[in-house]
Parts: sequence; structure tokens; C-alpha cells
Amino acid sequence: MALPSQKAIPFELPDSEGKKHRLEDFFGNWQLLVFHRHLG
Amino acid sequence: MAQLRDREPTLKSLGIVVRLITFDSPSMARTYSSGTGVEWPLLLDENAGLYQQYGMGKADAWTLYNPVALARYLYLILTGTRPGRPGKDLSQLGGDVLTDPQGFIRFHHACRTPLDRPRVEDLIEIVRESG
Repeated sequence: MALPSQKAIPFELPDSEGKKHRLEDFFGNWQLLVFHRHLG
Repeated sequence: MAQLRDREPTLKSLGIVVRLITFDSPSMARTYSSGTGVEWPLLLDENAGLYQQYGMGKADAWTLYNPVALARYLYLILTGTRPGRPGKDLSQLGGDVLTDPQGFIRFHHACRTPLDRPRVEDLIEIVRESG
């Protein structure tokens, strides 16, 4: 499991429209990844 | 999420990019985005692989349905929050990961209960302190 001070885990995930999003898209910015519980 | 949205101007002013991640289906994601008006991108991790890699755990039945949790759900319903359709996995918990501009993890939080989230102020403080 990744922990503070370690490199973030790379990902490539689609959104609901099929557009791909990668971790490195926003290198140069702080990023907050918010993992949801179920959306219901 | 409400706390996060309330601080959206501050997050933006500090250059913090927010990305939401769900393990639910594309149709549920579309319903959520249109229903809440949230403009942050909602990314689909349908097999919850990234959840697992970041150590986001699962709640047991007692955590989900203990008297305090049930009272909280009842309170939300009585104060006008309508429960939505259950998603794929009620037990999957969420969490938060804050990465710095170089791609290093500066904060990691795996929720221990459905209501356990970090304070947005604490995340903002980490960014501010880094200068």
C-alpha cells in the first residue's frame, strides 16, 4: 500500500463519458483524489 | 462532500485539483454528477483496483448497521436527505489521497467507517505549510 512520502500510484481511469484520466495529467499541481463510498 | 464543495474556492486558489473516484457504474456516475451538480471529474474504477492499491477497506456489518449508524441514517432521512439506490458494494469504504506537484503522496487516509473523512481544513493546511 502506498504511504505518505511515497510516489503516488499511476492510474488511467475513464470517466462516465469514456474520457481517460491519468495521474500525470496534473503533475505540477497538488491533486486530491477522493475515493467515494457507493454513490447511492 | 459538502465540506469539500464549501471550500472549493480555496482549493482552486491553492491550485489543488480535485478528482473523484467511484467503483460504481457509468450510469450511476452520470446520475450522481447531474443530480449533485458536482463539476469535478468523476473517474470510474469499476473493479476497485485503485481502492485496493491505496488500502481502502471494507466495513463490516456492525460498522454499517450499529445503532449509532442507524440513528444517523434516520436523522438524515428525517432532515430531508433521501437515500439513493444502493451501489454495487455497500461495504466498500472510501478515503482520500493528497499528492504534491511532483507526484508524491503527502496525505493518505483510508476511512474506517462510512462517516469517517478527514477535515478539509487539515488538507488545506498541508498545502499551505508546504509554501
